[in-house]
Amino acid sequence: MSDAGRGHLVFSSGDSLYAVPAERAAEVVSLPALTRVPGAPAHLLGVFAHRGEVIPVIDIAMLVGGRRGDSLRRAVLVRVPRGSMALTANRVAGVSQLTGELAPLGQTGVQAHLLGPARSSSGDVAVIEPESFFDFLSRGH
Amino acid sequence: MASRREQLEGLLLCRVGDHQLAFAATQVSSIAAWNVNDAPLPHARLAYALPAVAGKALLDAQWSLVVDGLEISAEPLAVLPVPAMLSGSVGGALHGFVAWSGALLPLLGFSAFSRYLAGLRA
Repeated sequence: MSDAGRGHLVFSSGDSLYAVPAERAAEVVSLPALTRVPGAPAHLLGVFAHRGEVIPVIDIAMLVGGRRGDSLRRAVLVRVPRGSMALTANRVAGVSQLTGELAPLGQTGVQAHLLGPARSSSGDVAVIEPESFFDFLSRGH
Repeated sequence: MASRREQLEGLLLCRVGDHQLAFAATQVSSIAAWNVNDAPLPHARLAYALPAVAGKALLDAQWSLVVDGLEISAEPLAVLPVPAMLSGSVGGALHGFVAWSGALLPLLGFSAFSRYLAGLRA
């Protein structure tokens, strides 16, 4: 589970701020044209090829808030032991030390894989627990 | 699932609305014109929540599906493996992604995708 004292990459998507542990954030990428996956849920925008690897792109604003993010041109590439995913970002605030608690924000759904309440220098953030978030999405959510 | 450096020859590159899909040509035994008034067949447009339009019916001995149009590629095309997050998606029909003409096309197992579409229709 994430530790608030570690560095986290803070970024915005939609109206909210999110953070991922800095060691899981591989890079910020500009998104090319995406390939839709047949039958994919709305938050799975598609995939793109990046250095020989196919990366799924998640609109986190859609996943968490049910509304399409306002910028789908950049994403934070997150790597976990099982694979990679790109999370849409309209603005990347940089690496920040967080304060506050890192407890699940909910008991079910995606909220169970977001931690908080935490604060960064940019404001309140929901901290993504990368491994469990990845596993949640891998189950077809 | 495709290995990292796999290449495939003999692919059906299919158009479905603004999307494209690929199947191994060996999985399809015949191709016929299909119209919306013909006998109902699972249409690949269902997977993109698009209405059915006239197109080409792909058939094998047991399964069938309709796409808007297609071309056949004989040249070897690189296949990229399915990312771990998408393993088992599309009803287990997703076998990889084909890099073709600057785009990535989902490479689907024909019978599994036909079954998946039939499930969407039910």
